[in-house]
Amino acid sequence: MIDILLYGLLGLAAAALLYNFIRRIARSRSDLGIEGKLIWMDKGRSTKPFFNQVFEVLGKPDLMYRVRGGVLAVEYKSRRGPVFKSDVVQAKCAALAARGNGYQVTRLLVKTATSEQYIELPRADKALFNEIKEYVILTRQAKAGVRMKAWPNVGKCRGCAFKYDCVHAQRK
Amino acid sequence: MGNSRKSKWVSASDVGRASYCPHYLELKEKRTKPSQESIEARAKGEVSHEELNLQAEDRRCFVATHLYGSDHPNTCLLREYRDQRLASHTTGRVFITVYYAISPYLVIAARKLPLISRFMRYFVDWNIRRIQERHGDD
Repeated sequence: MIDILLYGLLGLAAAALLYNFIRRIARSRSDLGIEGKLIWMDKGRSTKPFFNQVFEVLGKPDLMYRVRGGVLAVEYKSRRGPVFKSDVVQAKCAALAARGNGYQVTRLLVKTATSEQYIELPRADKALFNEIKEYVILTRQAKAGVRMKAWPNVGKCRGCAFKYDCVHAQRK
Repeated sequence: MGNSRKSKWVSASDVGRASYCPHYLELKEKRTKPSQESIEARAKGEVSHEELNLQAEDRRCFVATHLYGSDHPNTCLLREYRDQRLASHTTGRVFITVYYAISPYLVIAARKLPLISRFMRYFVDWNIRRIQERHGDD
């Protein structure tokens, strides 16, 4: 009797593991679950970015869908882990660039391999620009040759492309 | 004038990096060589973006694409069958999920062993004939 219970329990555990495995596969490989029509796609280097002549920013979202009330832009990061502020700032800037070409982006989906975040955007371009303005200014300063502050952090520095040449890099 | 005007343009990826660490941009402007890991990560990222695009278009049909090509009528017929018949009921959706989990590995194996390709072609051709017959009946 105890044998049957034990095997039953093991069977249940195996079934639960299998179920979780299939769910994980299904989640990572199923469609994106966006209700809307795909209207634009970044096909790599051959796809030209959008230019917003007013704010002088350029960029391209990864995907754009026509959804109820406007356009949803998707910014995809292939790494695992949470959505970072820098991902959101990049996505907002790309959305502003797309708006310059007539795509009224009203919503963002920033997605990593393991998490995602939806963000509602302000209707006015100026308001959207104001949300990223300080970083646009910093970028312009860097391009002009101004010395830039470092914001070192163990996690950030680990993933940085210039960690071996950066005097501020925190290595642990 | 022209130069100063040109330099005002900033890209979304650089603006994102400015919020990550402004010093990154300084190093980039100085043409510092990126680490090998970051070059590899970038290449991986490009592959992931291609996969995302396939997912978004739902043009996945790995085995058929391997056997006939992405835009071949047989591949399109199988995609249509997937979307119209299989995806309309639970068993079909489970089949699609399991198929997408297995088929990339099948294709990798088939590329290494042509015998697997031949077997798959025989099986897929047989299925296509069945689908066409059903279409004919309808």
